[in-house]
Amino acid sequence: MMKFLSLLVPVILCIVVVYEVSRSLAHADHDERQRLIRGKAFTAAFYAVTGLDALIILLYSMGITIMSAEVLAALHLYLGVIVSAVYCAVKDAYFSPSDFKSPYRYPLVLGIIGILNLIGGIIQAKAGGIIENGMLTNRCFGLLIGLSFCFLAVVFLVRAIKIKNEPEEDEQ
Amino acid sequence: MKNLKLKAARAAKDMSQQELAELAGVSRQTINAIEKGDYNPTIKLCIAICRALDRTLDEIFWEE
Repeated sequence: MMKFLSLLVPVILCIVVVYEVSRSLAHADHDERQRLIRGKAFTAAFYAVTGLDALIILLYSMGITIMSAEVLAALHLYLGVIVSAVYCAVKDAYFSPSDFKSPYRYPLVLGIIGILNLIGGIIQAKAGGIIENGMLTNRCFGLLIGLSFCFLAVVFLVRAIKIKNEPEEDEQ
Repeated sequence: MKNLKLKAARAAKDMSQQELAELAGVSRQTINAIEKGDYNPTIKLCIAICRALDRTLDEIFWEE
């Protein structure tokens, strides 16, 4: 029964994510200002990932290895996504005009995914093996994904509240 | 530089930023950014805004 449930949860999550992503793509009608900002967000994400690379190379040259190759690859991915998404969210370029009608959808979905991963990550952390030989192992993925998604959910929630409540003429 | 002509034309039509944004097919934040002078719209968007407000490009976007 537990095995069935443990399989069911990711399947349901995948269906929800695919549905949300396809719905977002179908309504991805960002205006010209938003597209411009999204381009800058990709640039910012690229520089952030390059900066992380520089830091890791520096540490490696000093003989310090703090994470496994898998964790490093995942960290690159999450850092790029976070920088890009936060940059867009702060500049009102993440939600397309049609999304502004229901901006709470994004923080809700991200928050649920984040909390579920965080719970899994904490369970794995308690079981041990997150740090081996002074290096983060791939057992920290749950925590990493959970923290990333929860952070994004909080940023999006703040923006959604601001979008809903800000007076029209005095924005920003 | 703030685009006060746009703001005045919108107010003359008793239109909110949201209503103008929907007519022009952009977000309210974009209309807000144009009015505040934070964003220079493309000619395509300028025309869409002028059509929504029944004004000419000169009337809204030309600076004397």
